[in-house]
Formats: sequence, structure tokens, C-alpha cells
Amino acid sequence: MFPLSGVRILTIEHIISLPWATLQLGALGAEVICVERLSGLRYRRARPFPEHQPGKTWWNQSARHSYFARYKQSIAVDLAMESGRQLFRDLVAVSDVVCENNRPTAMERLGFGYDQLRTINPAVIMLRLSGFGQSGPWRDAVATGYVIQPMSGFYSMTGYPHSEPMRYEETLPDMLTGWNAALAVMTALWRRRKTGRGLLIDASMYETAVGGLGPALLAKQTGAKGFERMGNSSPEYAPYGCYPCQGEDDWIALAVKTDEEWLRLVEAMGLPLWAQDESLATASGRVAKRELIDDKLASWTREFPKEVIFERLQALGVPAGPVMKAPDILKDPHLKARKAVQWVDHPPEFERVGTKPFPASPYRFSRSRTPQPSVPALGEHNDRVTRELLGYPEGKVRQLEEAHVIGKVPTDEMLARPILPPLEKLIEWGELARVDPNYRALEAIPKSKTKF
Amino acid sequence: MARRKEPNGRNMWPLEDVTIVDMCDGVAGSFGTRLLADYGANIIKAEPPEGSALRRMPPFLNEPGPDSSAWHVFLNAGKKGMRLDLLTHEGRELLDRLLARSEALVIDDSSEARLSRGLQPSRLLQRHPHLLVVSVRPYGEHGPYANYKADNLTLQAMGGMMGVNGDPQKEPLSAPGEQASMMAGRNVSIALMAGLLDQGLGEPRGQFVDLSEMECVLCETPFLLGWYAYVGAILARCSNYPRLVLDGDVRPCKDGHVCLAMNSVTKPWEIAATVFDEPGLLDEKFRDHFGRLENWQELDRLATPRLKAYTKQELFRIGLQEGLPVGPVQTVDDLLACPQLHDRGFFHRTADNEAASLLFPGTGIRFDGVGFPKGCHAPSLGQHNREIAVKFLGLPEQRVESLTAKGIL
Repeated sequence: MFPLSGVRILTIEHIISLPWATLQLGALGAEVICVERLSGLRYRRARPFPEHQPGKTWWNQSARHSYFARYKQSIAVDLAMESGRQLFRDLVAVSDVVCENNRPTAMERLGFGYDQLRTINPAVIMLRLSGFGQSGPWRDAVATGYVIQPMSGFYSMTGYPHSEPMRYEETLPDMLTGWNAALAVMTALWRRRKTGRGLLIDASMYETAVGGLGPALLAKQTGAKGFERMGNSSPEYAPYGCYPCQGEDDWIALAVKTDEEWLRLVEAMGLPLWAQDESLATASGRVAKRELIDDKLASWTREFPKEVIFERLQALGVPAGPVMKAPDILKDPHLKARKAVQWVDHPPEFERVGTKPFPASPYRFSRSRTPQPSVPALGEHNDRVTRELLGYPEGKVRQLEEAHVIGKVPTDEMLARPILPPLEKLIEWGELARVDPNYRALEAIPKSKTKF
Repeated sequence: MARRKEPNGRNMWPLEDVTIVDMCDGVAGSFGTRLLADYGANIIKAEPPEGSALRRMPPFLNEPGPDSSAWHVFLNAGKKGMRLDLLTHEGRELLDRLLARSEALVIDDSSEARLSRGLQPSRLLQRHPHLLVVSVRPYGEHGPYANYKADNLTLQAMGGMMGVNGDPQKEPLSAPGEQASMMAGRNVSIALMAGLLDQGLGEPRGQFVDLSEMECVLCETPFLLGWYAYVGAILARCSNYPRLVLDGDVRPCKDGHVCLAMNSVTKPWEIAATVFDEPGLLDEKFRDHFGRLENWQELDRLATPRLKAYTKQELFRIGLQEGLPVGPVQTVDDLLACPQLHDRGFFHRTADNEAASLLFPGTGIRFDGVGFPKGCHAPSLGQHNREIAVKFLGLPEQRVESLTAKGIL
């Protein structure tokens, strides 16, 4: 038994926030049935693909799809057809939670608003996740990570000193909202267990992101400083930042918050004269000479690999951490010891995908078990869901297949086939830094492998 | 402990029957329990005599003091405050009484600190087999780095997040606002609910949950491992990505900056060409994403001057009307005045007297028909000692006075 054993979740989801939410629930043992479309499969056609070549069955090979589809089942249904919508209604009747992150009112147009779902299943919990929520003057504004993130205040606080606001990777508000929404569903499940009643949950990506900057909002109202745009620096501490190391684009982050940590850092550097200046003995003195310290410190860090500085400083009790790239993460002894990276085998439908690494959930239970991850091919669970779960007779299933109400191949397969620019172009355009020709060597790394 | 009820009594708050003891010094655990307090859980913030470290974390609202840290005010809102000296035998006895009546405990201290306060998980679970004990630490409970020191900045670096953000010609860039720990806080709340739901399935059975902040950060950058494992590619730092014109990049406008995400809707360029009266945007060379990346300088020359004719809110309104994804770079002042946030009741007042109160942000979740728990006050140190000791633990008044006189409470 898993923490969410016995909970069935039906989800109509699009990138990224809701897939992340339902992944959390699936990883805790909920049965997550993902109702996919048969055309316009945006995330299944998003790069990267194995060896940068979408195979014949490209819709099962995207790394982005695999990342977010773990722990889920897939049925591919054409909801534009009445028989497809009836299938959905039949699933609602046997589900505990229905999740969606379409534009507000889209579900009503399909006949799947909360009031409509409650006539089918009075105790159903419905999660409606959207950019700005289900109400308010901005409800219908187009929302993506690139829209929400600048609006939430993140960009205005992000950037180097004296520079313009900077963009941050687009997924942050999605991921925060996914976690938030997963919590809300679990909370509603707890309540339903006590009351027997369903609940409508309205989750807003914008509000989640703004709420994550709560202390900045409070500080601003009283005139307190501390959330201005200043790169990695801190107004209270120095040295506090990211320093270059030996190696191509290698860096170490350092956070010296106490005078004791400063003394240990000076010791690690070999007691250079400049660092023994008494004016640097206190945090305020160091903050006043931040630029001098940063310059001198960078001269020292450049002499060593990031791993060497990391271990040397940690041995002396100084908070330091290397800026980790993918190969660092895959080789890291700590993450290996904790099985923080899960290696997931993909079945033959995924052609060359094979065994690939993904971050595991960041918590480990001493008693509760958690399920093994799997990634579904498109429509892989059509049969199981229609025949076993809903008890549809053979003839009815065949009818649905023949009418292309359900399927396992996109109806726009040729049209939607991904066209990928060469990797050299992606490097030239600035999306990728470089390509490591020896990356397959990671296959030799001992894995905490997961099969299904 | 007195249960909080909604004024109309129509709906129970989802977690009003749950009591959790929060003994955290840091952001992650405190945020995790704060999220559950928002859903009605009774959270008892049990602090050492000197108060938790959060109370000393800058910046401070008004004058520096034990109750004025912005982090304390935000993260401990809606909790009950208890001051408890666990270095004494009587203090530990009191904690045992508290845990016997609680569903869960959240801790974030080191192994040595636990030993001195009697908070070793094995001891706790032995005495309280029903209890869910969640530990959140920078690197988790075990592994070579388990006792290493960390900070929000170093965790963002080690979780892979910083490496993909910032200018490729400069140092990697961190996200603002203790995001590593805030992410971990969200996972603390999920782990708590998972443990509670698992308890609820049968006989109450406690357990220990080991949560690593670094691993929370690792989850947040979803494409990092995929690009390497599938193709061998190392992602570039992408904060300044000049080739992305009107596609998630930050562009100047009349009174600030704005982001357009043209790649995310159908026919955006046709709309933009009409709205901004710039037919050149429809030139064949900009027809697809790759064409725009190849011809970005020309596209930039056409598009950017158009944006500078509008304020960021004017551009947002155009986007709202025309179906274009437009995200103005809002400041905190913009957020505090935001019509959408006010319309949806996102902010709560911290006091009835408007002049003396602050706008307190919500969580981004609304349960239909279920109001928010009242009050977003963070407790002063030991503010609810008597209430907890007498009403929740059933101690006689005299005993409470004696414990208070000894400095245990």
C-alpha cells in the first residue's frame, strides 16, 4: 500500500504545472489516468529526443514527455466526439479527483464544469489550475511561464547589480504551482475522508508565484530593504556569491554568514595577508569591502577545480557548493548514495529511449512504500481503462477504435512530426552550451534502476 | 486546543482536526507547516528560549526585534507560539505530552542538536508510535554530505538551478527570495499530507520522513538531465537570450520592461502585425521559430521600437484584448496594487485597523465555499504558552505558573 493507494485521479493536462502536480500524486501511489488528445500533442513533440532524432514513433520519445508522464497511465481520446465525452463521463463516475488546466470555461464548453461533474459523481474533487485563476479581470489572459514569471515580481528582483531585470528559466512558476496544487488535492482528500464531500479547488499560477515572494511583499510595505536586484550578493553578508573555478565554465557558490566562517575561509586560502585585515573581521566590514573581497577570492578559486574547493571548505565548516551541471549530478556520490536519481527503463514502444535518468521525489518514508515509476506510451492504457475499469464490451471498444475515438497513434502524425534544427544551431542560438561527445559513458555509471 | 470554525459553520477547514508541532529554525520546515496552517491545521511553533533563528533573519519590518523579521512574520503566520526549554527534563516531559496529542512533528536541526534536545527520531517514534516525524535538512539525513553546511545560494548551485540561469558571459545567477528552501517547504507540506493520509488508512502508524532540500532543487530544473542523457547536451545559461525576440525575453517598453511569449499561441505574429501596425513582422523569413532565431537582429529592429511606444500595463491590456501572451515585468509595488489580486481576495489584512495593518499574501489556492482561516499573525515568542498548556495539554494553572517561573515555558 502507498500513501495514496485507492485514489483515482483523472486528468486533462497541458504543460507544465498540472502534469507536475499529478506526477507528485502518482509518485505517492495515486492511480493517475491521463486523458490525452489524439492530435496537437505539444509536449510529446518537444525536444530533446534520443540522439536528437525523433524516431518513427516520435510521440513516445520526448524526454520532456517522459519527465512529466512518470507514474501515469495514458488513454488517448478524441473529446470532440460525443462517444469520447461519454467515455470521459464514465471515468468521472469512478474517479475521486478530476484535474484540468485548460483555459477557464473550456471545460464548461465540453460539458465538464464542476456542477456538471457533480451530477455524475457528487463527491468528486475537482482541481482547476490556470494562469490567473477562475475569476477576476485577468482570468482570460493568456498565461505561460514566460508571462507569469515576469508578472509575479521574480524578474524585477532577478539580475546583476545595476543591470536590467533578467529572465529566469520559464518552468519555475509552473513547478511551484504543481507542488501547490498537489498539496491542495491531498488536503481536499483528507477533508473528503472526514466529511464525504467533494470540493472545487481553484489554483492560480500567478498567485502561487507571488505568494512565494511573501516576505518581499511585506518588507516593501514597511520600507525594509533586502529584496533589491543585486545578483547573488546579500546586503548583510560577504563574501556571498558565485566564484570562477578551474575548468570550463565551472563555478563555486560561497555563503559566509558568520565571522567564524570567514576565519575558516581565510585559513583555507592559506592565510593571505589581505584577508587578515582587521576591518574584514566583521560582517559589516566585509560588506563595505565586498568588491575587494570578491576580486581576491576569485583569484584564489580560479586556481582549483570546483570539487577541490568544495571539499576543502566543507571540511572547515564553510558553506560552499559547486554549480552542478548534468554530468556532475549524475556522478555525484551523495546523490548516488541517496538514490536521488532514478533510472527508468522505457518499453519497446519507445524505440531507442532505453534507460534514462530522472530526479526522484525528494522525500523518503521509513514505512510507506512508494510505487515504481513508469512512462506510458500514447494510449497504452486504452484497453485497461475501457475494458477492465469501465467494463466496456469488446464490440464497443472496437467501435471506439474504428471511429478513432480512442487510439494509440496521433491522427496528425505526419503533420506534427517534429523537425529539429541541428545541435550546432542550438549552440549557435544560445539554447545549448555544448555537446559532450562522451555522454554515453554515463551508461556505465552504476544505476539505481527501476523497471516495470 | 480550541478548533477554529468558520463564521457560518457551513464548511470545515480541511485540516482543522490536525495538530502539528513545528520545531524548525529555518525557512523550509516553517514554510511547509505555514502552508498547512493556511488550510486550517493547528500548528504549534515550539521554540527554544532564545526564539527560532527565523526571528533573527533580515530584513526586519520596522525596527529589528524578535517579532519583526519579514521571514518570521510570513512563515509563522497563523501558528500558535510556544516557548519551550528542551535542555531541561521538565521541558522534554512537556514536549512528550504535546507530541502525544499531535499528529506530526517537523524538525530541521543537525544530529548533534537533536541529541542535546532529545529529538532523535528513533527515540521520538519509540515513545510516540503514532507520530509522523518529518526532517528537512539541506542534504537529507544520510549520504556523504549529510553534515555539510549549506545555504540557499549553495543549494541552488548544487541542485542544478543556478547553472542554467544568468548571462553566459557572467557568473550563474540565483533566484530571489530563498527559493531553494521555499521549494523544500512545499515538499515538506506534501510529505506531511502523504504521511497523514497514509496514517488515516488504518491504525495510526507513525514513521520518519527524510527530506533533502538539494533534491527539491534538482526536481525544479526538469530538462537538465534529459538534455544530457538523451543528447549529451549541456544547457546554456539563458537569462539573456537576445535571439529570442518577443519569445520570453525581457524587452524595454515605455515605462519598464515586458515579456511576450509569442511561441505559445497560434497566429500571434498576425495579431502582433495588426496591433502594432508593423506588417514587416509577417515577412517570410520570420515564418517559423528557426527563421526568427536566424534573423533575430532584423526582427528586433522591427519589434522593439514598437514596444517602447506603450507602457507595460498598456501592453498587458492589449494582450488581454487580443489574445497575445504579454507579461509585464511587475515590481512589488505593482503587485500590491494589482487589480487581479485584489479582486480575488488574494491579500488579507494583518489587523482590523487598516492603517496599522499590512497586506498579507495568500497561497494561490481557493477551496470553493471554504474560507481562509482567520488571522495572519505570527506569534510572539511563547505567546500561546498558557493556552496550549492548559487547554490543549490539560495542565493545571499552578503547574503552568511553576514551569513559567522556572523558565521552562
